[in-house]
Amino acid sequence: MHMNLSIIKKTSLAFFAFAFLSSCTEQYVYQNQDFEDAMSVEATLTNELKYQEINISRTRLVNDTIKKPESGAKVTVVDSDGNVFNFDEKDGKYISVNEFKVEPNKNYQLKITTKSGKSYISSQQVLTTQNSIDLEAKMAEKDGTQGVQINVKSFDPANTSKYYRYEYEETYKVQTVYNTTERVELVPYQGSFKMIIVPAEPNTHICYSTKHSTGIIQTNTKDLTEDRVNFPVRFIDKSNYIIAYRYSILVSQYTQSQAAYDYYYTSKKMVDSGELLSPNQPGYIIGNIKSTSDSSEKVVGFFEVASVAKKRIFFNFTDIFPSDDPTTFFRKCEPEEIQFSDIPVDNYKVLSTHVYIGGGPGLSPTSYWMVEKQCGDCTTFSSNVIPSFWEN
Amino acid sequence: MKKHFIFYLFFLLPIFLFSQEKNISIKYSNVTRKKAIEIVEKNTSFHFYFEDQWLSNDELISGEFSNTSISVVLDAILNNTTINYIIDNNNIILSNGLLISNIITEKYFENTDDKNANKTANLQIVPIYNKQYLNDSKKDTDSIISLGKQSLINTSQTYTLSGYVKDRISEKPEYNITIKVKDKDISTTSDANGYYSFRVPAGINIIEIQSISHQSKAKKIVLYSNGKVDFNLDENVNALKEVVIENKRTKNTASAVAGLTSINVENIKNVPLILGERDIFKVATTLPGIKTAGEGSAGFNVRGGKDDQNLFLLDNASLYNPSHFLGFFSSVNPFTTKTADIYKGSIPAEFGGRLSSVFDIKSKDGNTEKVSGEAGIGPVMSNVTLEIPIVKEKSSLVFGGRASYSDWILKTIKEPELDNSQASFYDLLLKYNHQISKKDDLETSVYYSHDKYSINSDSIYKYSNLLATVKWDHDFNVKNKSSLIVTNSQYKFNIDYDSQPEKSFDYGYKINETQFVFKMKYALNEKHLFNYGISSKLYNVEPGFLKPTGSNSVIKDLTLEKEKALESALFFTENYKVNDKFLINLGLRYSFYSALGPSTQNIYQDDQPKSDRTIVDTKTYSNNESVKTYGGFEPRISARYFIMPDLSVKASFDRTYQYMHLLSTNTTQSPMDVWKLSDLNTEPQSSNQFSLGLFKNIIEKSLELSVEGYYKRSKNILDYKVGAELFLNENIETELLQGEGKAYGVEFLIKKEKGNFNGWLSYTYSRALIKLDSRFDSEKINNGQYFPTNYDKPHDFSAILNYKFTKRYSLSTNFVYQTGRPVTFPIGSYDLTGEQFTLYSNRNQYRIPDYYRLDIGLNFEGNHKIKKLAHSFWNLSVYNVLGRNNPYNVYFVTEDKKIKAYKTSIFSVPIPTITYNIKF
Repeated sequence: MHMNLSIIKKTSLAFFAFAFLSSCTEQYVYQNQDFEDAMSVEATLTNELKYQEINISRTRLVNDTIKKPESGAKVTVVDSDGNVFNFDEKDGKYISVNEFKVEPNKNYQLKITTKSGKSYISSQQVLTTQNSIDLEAKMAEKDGTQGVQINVKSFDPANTSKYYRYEYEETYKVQTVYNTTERVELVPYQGSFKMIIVPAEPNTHICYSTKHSTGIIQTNTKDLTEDRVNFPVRFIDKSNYIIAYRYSILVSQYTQSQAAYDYYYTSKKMVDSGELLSPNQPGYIIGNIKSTSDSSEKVVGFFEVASVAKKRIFFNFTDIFPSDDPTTFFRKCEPEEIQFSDIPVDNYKVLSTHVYIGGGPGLSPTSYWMVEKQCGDCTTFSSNVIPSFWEN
Repeated sequence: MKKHFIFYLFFLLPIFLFSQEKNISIKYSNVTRKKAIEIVEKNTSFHFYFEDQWLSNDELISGEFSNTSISVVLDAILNNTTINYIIDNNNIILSNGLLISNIITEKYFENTDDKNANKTANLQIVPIYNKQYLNDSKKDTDSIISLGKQSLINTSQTYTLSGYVKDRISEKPEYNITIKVKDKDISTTSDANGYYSFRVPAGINIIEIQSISHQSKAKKIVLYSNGKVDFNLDENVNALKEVVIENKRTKNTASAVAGLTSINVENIKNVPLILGERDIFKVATTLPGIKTAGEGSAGFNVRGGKDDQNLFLLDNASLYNPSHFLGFFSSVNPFTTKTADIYKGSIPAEFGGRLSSVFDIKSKDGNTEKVSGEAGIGPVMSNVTLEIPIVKEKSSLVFGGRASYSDWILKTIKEPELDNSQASFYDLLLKYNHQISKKDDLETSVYYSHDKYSINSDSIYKYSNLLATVKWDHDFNVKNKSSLIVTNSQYKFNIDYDSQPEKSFDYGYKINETQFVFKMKYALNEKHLFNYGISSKLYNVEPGFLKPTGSNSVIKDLTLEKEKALESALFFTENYKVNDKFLINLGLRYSFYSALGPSTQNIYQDDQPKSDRTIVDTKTYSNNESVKTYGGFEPRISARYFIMPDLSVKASFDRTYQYMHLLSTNTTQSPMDVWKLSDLNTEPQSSNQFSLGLFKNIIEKSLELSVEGYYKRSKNILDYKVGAELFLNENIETELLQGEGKAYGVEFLIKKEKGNFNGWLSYTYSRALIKLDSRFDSEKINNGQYFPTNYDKPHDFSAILNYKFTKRYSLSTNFVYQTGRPVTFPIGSYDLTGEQFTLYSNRNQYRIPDYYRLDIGLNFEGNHKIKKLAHSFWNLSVYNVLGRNNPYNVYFVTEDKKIKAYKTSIFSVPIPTITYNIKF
């Protein structure tokens, strides 16, 4: 009996292990022939006088990144006074023919007729309460790391705004590790080329990068007794190079209607799905644009009319962290000694990836000191044009 | 001697007999009756004619008579026996039970059943003549039992016959055995203790025992008083090995209950099962109308019902999670289970609180005679069952335990993929039953199951069930019986998440239910049987807490507010037998529910969809204050009509209410899903089901055929808004939608129970649809039209086929096919605010691939010598012989702004297992 037992245990051990190993999660290729080609609209009209902009495209295959604009559509916005604002197609977008701003106490409606003749109409939208905002940059801690936090402050004494969505545009000064004043140039020489050192392009040491926020950033004051916003719209780690010198942020606060807020809120919840324990219920989110002929046709997007408030601030690293040193660059830069004989390799490839920072050692050098281009030329990843709004 | 005697009687009786009594003097002390008669025979001239066994009683008697009439002496000797006598000169003929008539009526010669013939007798009694006695003696009766003496003063027409039905070898009571009076439409079934009791006409009756699991048996009983007859049954070896599951044969066509499936737990061992473990529920899912939500899923979908609509009762207490290890194994120990009755329609009125089904599981009563037990070794679990008599013939204790040793195995394996995996579980059952008196039975049981697992992650999942029950049965009299039941059930789970120190937490949930039931049974007469009673349940729910663990954790401490509610019901059932063909079962239930404080409930803006943003007020309720009450009538009506003796038609209507909901966004039920009680903002579910079925038995071929159709409409079925987030949501109602359900289906079953080749085929075509419509666009799903639910699987086919080569070797196969379940697919991408978002199809517009699987099992039984220490049993089975890569789940995750589809399959290769069981 005892022997029998031990045999069983051994065999069962193998079986159970086998069972565990045979369970697997693999990537699943599901049939996608029934790909549903739906129209997608992104439209937020504001009370800012400008050429208003509406994006209309077709949905694309899952994970396809190439946009498929809906071209040739007739796009208009009409208000309750009978004014018609026409939009023209330009660079894959629909831009209003004239500058206009949304005005309070009027209804606005979006109408689209596609090239194929299908027409769509949005529900009527009204401009939300107009507010003004303030920004504050201060030292804060998030998930155990120090950084700078930009807070939006807003107050609606009428207590009618409540729902807010944010976008921001940040601009920051970058400085390359090496300031290159000379560069290597190839000149024809005896049927081949020779390298000469010439003055470099100016202004490749200091640049100004501008990045627009992505994603849905929202807050609401529903649970507060006062419609007072104090919302951390952006947090930047202390070690992030973008705040090493001077940083500027322009925050736009869109006051949303509750329906628009809900639409964006649900959309965000779906992307954030994949929470630890249970994924959120997936599905099609119904917006406020519908086909006039087929009520079951999916139309993606929400036609929104929102008041916008904008504010820009500037700060230097030392304003926030007076006694700390910033991380000055986003990467490590090590000078490399490149032998002359190595330079022509691969059709002088090294000259397109590296920049010259000086001659090699010795009286008659056989090499150059070079660094990767990003370390010496900021125009490779940024712009050396000082933005018009920039204040030093 | 017997033969001789009967012949003697036969020839003797027709002669008119006039006895001439003599006086005798006799003395006997402390002798058996037989000895006393021998003494009389020795000392007088009388000769006695009788059968030894009638006087086999060991009781000692004493007496002294001088010059007393022989009849007085005989009366004294035969006092307290069933024996009558007749004196014919010097011959004294004893008869067992029968009063030997010395008046021949005309009836004897006419040989007629005309009851008027009795008129010639002085009293309204039916004399039994030897001719009748002999004619009725057939081979199928092994003995004749006499109860009471026929006397000139037996006035009753019927007597109560009662007793116990036991297995001869194991001496265990046999449940649900039909006891029937031959050729008369009188029958009963044995109860959980093997006890039966019914009224039988006076005189000769052949009592037949019908059972699938045991050999049929008949006893001839001559009844002239209330009496007790026990039946010892011999296991039907064929049946034991072959019949896996049954609608009890007599029940199939005879009962008025249409949607009942009874699982004979003893007999499920031949179905080749996953990892060699016997499993009641897995067998159930091969029957029409019962489906699993997916391989390795804990949920069941019964007749298009959601997986939270099934009531699992273990010894009357609710079992919230009937599964181990994500549903791969059932947490109900088959070795301690006596019966499992599954009601998928015609739910008796005494049950309530769930819409779709009741799984009524009863544990074994222990052997009150001797210690017995069973042990098994499987690849995953080992089990031990012990039955220990405490007070002989009165009380007994059953202990059943099962435990996995997989944890140890996983640790032993040097496989990096399994480094973070662990899985262990066990369950224990302790049951005590005590027959306090002939009228009082007490049973109490305690059950605990525990699971702990972690699969390729740092989080440890734990869950456990704890049940305690007490049941007291009291018989007031033959007609009135009562049961008092008190139970407590608790289910809780925990997740210890420890993947990242800054996010480590402990998350938990707990539900506790205390139940009180009092029910009465009243058997008015053969035609009317009443059941009525009252039940009440108190729920206490801790809907969730989240606590940071470790000093680095930034998780915020959160505890959701407790929920409390009281659910009560009054119920009444009448079993009305209109005539031999027509039986009606009328059930009435009124249930009443009250959500109780302390509680805070949100009031939402009327003209807006419920969301965190539309809360206008919060109402606070004090302790035990009624927050909201719901209630309703739940009629349950079913009827059976015999079109032909072996063909019946049944129809039923059921209404059910359910006051709690299981929240699970995962398409398959997980042990971490939480139960939510109905409250101000969440209404109870309700359902109406109509069903109609035809049932046919072909007895010669031991075939059972049935076809049943059903149509079901439900209200307030819970579903979720797009993007619903259920995890620790304080305003959970803002994520919920309640809609209308519609389900219909046809179920076919062909079953062959006997013979070397047996098994069953079942096929179901069914649909389960839901409609989520609303006046708000954002709450409409699929444009407010009916669409398939997550568990809509139109085609479902199962075949269980067994072939027996010899008495000891048999082969069983199991084939399952199911339509793949519906799923919502991503169908496109679009941009919003500079990011990529995913466009999803209509909800449940697509389906995952179909599911099919073939399992094969080989059974070897030890030798069949009657006298041996223990009985052994080997089972070798291969799960998923075809190696089909059945998807368990298909899901989508957004990673780095890209949507990825994953498919999980559990057993994509054939899994062989071997099990050894020993019974002693």
